[in-house]
Amino acid sequence: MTRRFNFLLGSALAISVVFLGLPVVAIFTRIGPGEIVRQLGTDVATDALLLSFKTSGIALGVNLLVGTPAAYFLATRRFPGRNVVITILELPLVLPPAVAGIGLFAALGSRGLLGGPLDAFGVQLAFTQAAVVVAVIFVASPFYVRQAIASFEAVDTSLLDAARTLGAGPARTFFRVSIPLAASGLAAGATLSWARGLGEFGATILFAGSLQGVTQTAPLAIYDAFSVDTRTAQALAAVLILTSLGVLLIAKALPSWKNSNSQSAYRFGRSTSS
Amino acid sequence: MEKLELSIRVPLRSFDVELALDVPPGVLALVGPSGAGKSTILRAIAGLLRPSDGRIALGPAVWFDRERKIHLEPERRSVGLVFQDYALFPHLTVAENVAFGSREPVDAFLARFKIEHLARVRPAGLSGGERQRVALARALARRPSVVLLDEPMSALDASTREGVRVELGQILRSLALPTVLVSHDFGDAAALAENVAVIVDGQVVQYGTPQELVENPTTPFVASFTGSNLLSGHARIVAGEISEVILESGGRIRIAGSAEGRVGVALAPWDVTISRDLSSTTDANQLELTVSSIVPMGDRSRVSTNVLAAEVPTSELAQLDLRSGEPVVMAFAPSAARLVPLANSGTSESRPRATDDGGRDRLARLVRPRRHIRKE
Repeated sequence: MTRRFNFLLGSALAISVVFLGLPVVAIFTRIGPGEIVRQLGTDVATDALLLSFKTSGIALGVNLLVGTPAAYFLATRRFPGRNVVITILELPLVLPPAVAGIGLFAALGSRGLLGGPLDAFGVQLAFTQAAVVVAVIFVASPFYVRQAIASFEAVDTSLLDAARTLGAGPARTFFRVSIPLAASGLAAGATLSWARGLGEFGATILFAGSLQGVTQTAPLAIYDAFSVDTRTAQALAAVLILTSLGVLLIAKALPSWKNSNSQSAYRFGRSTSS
Repeated sequence: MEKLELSIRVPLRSFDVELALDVPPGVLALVGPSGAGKSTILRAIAGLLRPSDGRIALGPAVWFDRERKIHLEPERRSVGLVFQDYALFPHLTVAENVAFGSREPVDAFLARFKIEHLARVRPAGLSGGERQRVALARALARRPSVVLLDEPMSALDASTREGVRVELGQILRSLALPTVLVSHDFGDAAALAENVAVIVDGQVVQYGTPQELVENPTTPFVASFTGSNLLSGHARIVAGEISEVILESGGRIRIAGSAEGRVGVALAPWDVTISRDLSSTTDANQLELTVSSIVPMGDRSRVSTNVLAAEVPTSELAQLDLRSGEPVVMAFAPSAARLVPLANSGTSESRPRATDDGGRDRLARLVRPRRHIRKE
């Protein structure tokens, strides 16, 4: 009986691994390393990759800059409506990206909710590179903010109290205690959020379009190339696979943030003494 | 030297913490059962929570005044707070921890607390006693005007406790600052503090020196807390200053003092003597009981029955060759017993029972949770 059950479990696992791994392997069987390098030499591919790294990088920066304090606020305070606020921040996780694109268009497009006022300042977002960044920020931010809230919540509050009684104001406590103790969790969140941004497709194509060299990111270029030249599409796909794999490995290698209380062992990369 | 003045009210879930205390330089211990609001008082002094009413001042410096709408943030109050679990920053070394709140080089502090050799170690690599020293050094390196200690001994194991207690006592005495120490252990409080405030359900039920609390407990709770036996029964005056108490546990005793009706009788375990047989030549009260446990504590041993506990020299016990389950006669002089008013007469909470569980169990039985009454 035990044996048969183990066999069932093992079979399910085998099916999962093959099903999820096969497409990835398939791409590399279709296209060799030489061909990948050759295809990446084309303008379409280089433009798309550079644009992808640039926009997702800027989006990550914005998410860190705004998401970190917002997450800290949510992690350290209890107020009525807090759950509603968190739900709003998490919404892009479950929203179909195409819906996100339409939403962004309705809000920030030239005829959108804020489009008029923005227009008055001479700002037109839709179908610009800025629109790509906005779309990426929108879909990728919850990956960071969720993780950041959890990481800040895992920091023992008595450490924050201790910092305050030792003369540190709220800001110094944030930078010298909360951030270092949540750092590994924040880094893991940032990594995943960036990877999600790099792969962003639906919201971008609706809100920013797919103009080579302006708004055509790697996923959009793959889609475009697929109907014309599968070679380029496969080469771009191979690069994105390698990047994603690298990101996933980095995220897994980061130390756990569970141990950020005063009692347990804690390993922190930077050695400040010496 | 400034005096810390404190009169605050903090509503908690089932009662209000409401008390007024003056803390001159020296150590005041707040003792009482878990959940009595002791830590709440420390947090209010430190500014980590805002009382709903009252005033906190250190000499001329007002830290909190509800009427004048003053509430200084914790970083602007001059307190050194040692947290219950020490709350050392795990990502900083010992030296960095101590330097966190200090405006001066900390080498002298590291030396004074004998943690120089640990300067570059992170808290995860420290023993309990070392952590406590680091926490104390960190709190004092800020040169605070008030020292607050929340259960500074509770994270230590029994073997290091005694040594650390002596060390801590020396340091606190040398500081001569208003110091508030929270403890649920009367022994720690008695060893470290000049004055003790017993807190039950957020109120001071008795204030005095440790000696006064032991000698004159005013409530059954304080009697148990300080380690006394507590008997209850019905008293009647038999002659002048002598009363007879018919014990609820059976037997009758005579005590000094006049009392009528239901009373509590507190009796220090070291005032109780033991023997195998009743004596006919004594004025002492004698009770025939059965030994439930014998706990050696160095040169003294604690012999418990279900009514009384006695602390006797271990050598004396050896001569009697007494064992658990055997009959024993416990005796005490009428003058050794002290009358204690029973707050809730007729209830079962104050039924006497001697145990050697260190008092915690007794607290649970003796302290009746009071209903929450809003005072406004």
